[in-house]
Amino acid sequence: MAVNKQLSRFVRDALSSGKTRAEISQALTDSGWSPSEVADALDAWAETRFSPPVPRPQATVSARDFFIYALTFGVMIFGAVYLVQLFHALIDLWLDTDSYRWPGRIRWSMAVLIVTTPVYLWLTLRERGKLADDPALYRSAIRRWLMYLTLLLSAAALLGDGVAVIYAFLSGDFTLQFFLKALVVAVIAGLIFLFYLADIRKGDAA
Amino acid sequence: MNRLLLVVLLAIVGGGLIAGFMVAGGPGYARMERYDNERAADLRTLGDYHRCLLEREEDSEGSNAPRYCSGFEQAPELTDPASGAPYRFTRLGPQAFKVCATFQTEALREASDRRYSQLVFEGDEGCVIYGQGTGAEAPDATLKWTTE
Repeated sequence: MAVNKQLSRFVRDALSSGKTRAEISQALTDSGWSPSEVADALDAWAETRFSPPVPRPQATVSARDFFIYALTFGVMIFGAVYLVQLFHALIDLWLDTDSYRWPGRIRWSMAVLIVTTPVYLWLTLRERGKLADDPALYRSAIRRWLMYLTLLLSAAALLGDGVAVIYAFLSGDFTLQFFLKALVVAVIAGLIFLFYLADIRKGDAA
Repeated sequence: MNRLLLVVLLAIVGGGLIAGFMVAGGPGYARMERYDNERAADLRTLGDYHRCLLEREEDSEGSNAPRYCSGFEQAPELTDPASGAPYRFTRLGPQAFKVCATFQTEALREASDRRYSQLVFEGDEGCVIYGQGTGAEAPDATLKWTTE
């Protein structure tokens, strides 16, 4: 969490003047700061006797990070949408025999996946290698924002999917075709959600 | 955990692509489908043209040619997109004909029983058939178009 500048300055000055963390915490709590704000403000400074206080590493923002992570997440979201479309088209072909068989939808989805999957895989494995070499990269603010954005989108897809299933059930339209399509959305959105949730937890632990 | 999820996602993508290739076919099959669609469009155009010819034969003065016949003053120069061979025109009777082509895929054949299809298939051969035939070879129940 971002720490208020005045609060951060106060903590630094207090540590410089030799106050203990318990004293600073008490003073802040008495002034109305919440326990989480106090903890964040104190965590921003390393627990060492060195003076002046040593700041802990902060989140970083760089144009390079923006390029790499925006590309990675963009490719992933684009690919996920067409992966869902591919399976929906296959399900339609399998179960909806009355409609005209138009494989163009399948071919377009396949073309998107043939391009996006290797690019996503390469970018992700490359990033994993760099993170293993230099855990400081876990502090990329853009990476965290885009991961949370992906969590938000996949959670929204899961919730929307759930609403659609309930609505179809209540409307009496809950067919096998509908169920399989909803299942595809749930599986793909769920896997993406779990993948990035595990990533965020790993980053927090690093 | 993460590696397992990545492998599962990749397996889903791989499975989808394999299923896609099995259902939609490769580039060669796609080209044949495109040719078949062109053939179907050509047969419909030729059917319209020959239908207009019949109308004109009936109305020798040509004064009451239907509106849809404008643009059919000359025969459309259409040939099979793959072989370049002309389409097969057969007169089935005084007021009946068929225009046929050999199709390469199943896609249009499977769709031929639907309302919007104007093609009648017999094996690989798909035809646009017009009018009630009177000859011995005229099919009985292939009146896909009727004069209004």
